[in-house]
Amino acid sequence: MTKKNLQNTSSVHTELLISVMDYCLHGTIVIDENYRVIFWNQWMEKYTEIKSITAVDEQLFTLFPHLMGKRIQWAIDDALNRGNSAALSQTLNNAPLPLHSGMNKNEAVKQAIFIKPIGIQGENRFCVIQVQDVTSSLRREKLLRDTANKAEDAKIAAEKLTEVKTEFISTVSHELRTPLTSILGSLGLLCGGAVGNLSAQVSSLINLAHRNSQNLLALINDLLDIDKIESGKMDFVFANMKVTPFLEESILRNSGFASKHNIQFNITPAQDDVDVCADGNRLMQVMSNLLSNAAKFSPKGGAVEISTTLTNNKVRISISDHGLGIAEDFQPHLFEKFTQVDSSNTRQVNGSGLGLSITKAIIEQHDGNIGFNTTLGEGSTFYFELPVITTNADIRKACN
Amino acid sequence: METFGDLQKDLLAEAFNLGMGRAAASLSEMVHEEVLLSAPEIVFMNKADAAKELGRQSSGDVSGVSQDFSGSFGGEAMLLFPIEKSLELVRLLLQDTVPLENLTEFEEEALNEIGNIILNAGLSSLADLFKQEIQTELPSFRQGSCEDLLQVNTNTPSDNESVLLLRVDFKLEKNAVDGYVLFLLDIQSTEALIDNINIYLKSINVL
Repeated sequence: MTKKNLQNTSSVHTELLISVMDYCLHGTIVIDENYRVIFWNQWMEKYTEIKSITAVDEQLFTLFPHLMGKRIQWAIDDALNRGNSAALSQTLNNAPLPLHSGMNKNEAVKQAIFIKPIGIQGENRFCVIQVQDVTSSLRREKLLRDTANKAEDAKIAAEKLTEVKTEFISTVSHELRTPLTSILGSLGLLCGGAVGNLSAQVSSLINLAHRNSQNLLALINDLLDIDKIESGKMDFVFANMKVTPFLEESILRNSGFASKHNIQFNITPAQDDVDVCADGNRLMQVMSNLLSNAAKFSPKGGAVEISTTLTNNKVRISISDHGLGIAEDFQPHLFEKFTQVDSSNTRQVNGSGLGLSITKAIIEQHDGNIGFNTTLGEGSTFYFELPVITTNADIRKACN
Repeated sequence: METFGDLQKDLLAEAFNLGMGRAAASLSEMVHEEVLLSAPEIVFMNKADAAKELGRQSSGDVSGVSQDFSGSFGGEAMLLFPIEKSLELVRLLLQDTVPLENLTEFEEEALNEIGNIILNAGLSSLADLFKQEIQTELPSFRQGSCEDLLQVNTNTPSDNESVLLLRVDFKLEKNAVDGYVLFLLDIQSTEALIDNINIYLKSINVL
């Protein structure tokens, strides 16, 4: 049955349906059980440059001999003999039909093909082959893949660079620390008069070298701590401890900062002391950082207040100074690495800019949180909160 | 389901494995690599249990291909994998290395075709065995939770639909991926399938 015959024997509705198939935006071929073409729509005419009048009544494999024995033939046979429908993807079949669009005659049209059996009056078997042009979708996907591949390459390169940088910092820090320790030891002996009295000029220079060596050692220790935090290798030894004696000890240990900056640490102890589960040495590092910051940024002759409050099973330890406060645009970056309020080369206050970043990481390892309140011109309060231990079960849970 | 015993199970497994062999041959030719397919396990269960079984094998959503079929028994056939396995399978078959966490449009299309080949082969093997006609519809890509894809109604569990569940192993030269083929059948189709199996077993004098 040719397209013409189909039309002659059909009702108006059938003719309408044939027109719809003729004009639809996909290729449509109908073949019979002998692979004979009985319908070939306008899309197929356009994309194959084979007119319907030529195609109809020809065998599909006479028109396209290269399709014999290929996946498309298996699918057609499967539809005609078994009643199975098939979807042939562009990816797995790579444009089996020789289709070309008007846009680029040299580029084969990428295609998705759908094959479906059609039974009319029980016995007669037909098969409809529908073809979709997926060239532009494929182009979009290629763009997406290229972008994804580039992003992946950039990510790998950035990770590699970070790894190299971290390793470099770690190695250099270790290599610097050993000689620096002996330099510090020697300078300490000189300052302490171990080789006799020094002239005022020499003593001043030796003191300067000693102070700066101490700063350098602190920076190296901070770098090593950051490296441990980032690689997850910082060890913690948790134990149950009382807060008030710990705070008193921290003030004692940091009294050097107080006298150096000519300020006073004032502690307001809690009415009832509480227990926390903490690594005492690491928590002392937190206190030293917060107390030294408060001392550094306080006006000379001023005071820093240390207080304890209890809320919702948490103890909050606050350290308040009466310094300049922190500018609003700087606040979001305070806990980032290498952050200094004054990052200029001529800054007045020393520090690596790593202390608060390390402090935050240590507090978070204690299931705690850290924050601050600040008012420009009035001062800042830094606080951290830790879970309070009340029962033996809490101790076991927290300290494990 | 007292009439679905070991004998019936063995017959279905044998028929499906013939189908899987045909599907594997087609896939091997298409991807120019030897693909081996087998269905080592087959079990009848209700939809809720099938969803649970699939959920046990997958940490999250599943993805795959669904195809309706009709004939002397009808229903919906599915090939499902945990999402990461479907990515693995398609990328192994296509030797694709795109660093994306989801299937791209064309990978979905390829998975559709792979599912289509396997489900058609499985259903044809049953049609051949019972000398019955089974027509299949075009495949469509599916992704979601096991319950959603199997349309399990947790409020009013129904025993009116059962699932013929097969584990399918894909073996490529260096890798193996396993997924599931499911046939969702209503009560009439389940009975028709079992009738067909029993008629066949009687015809070869083993029942």
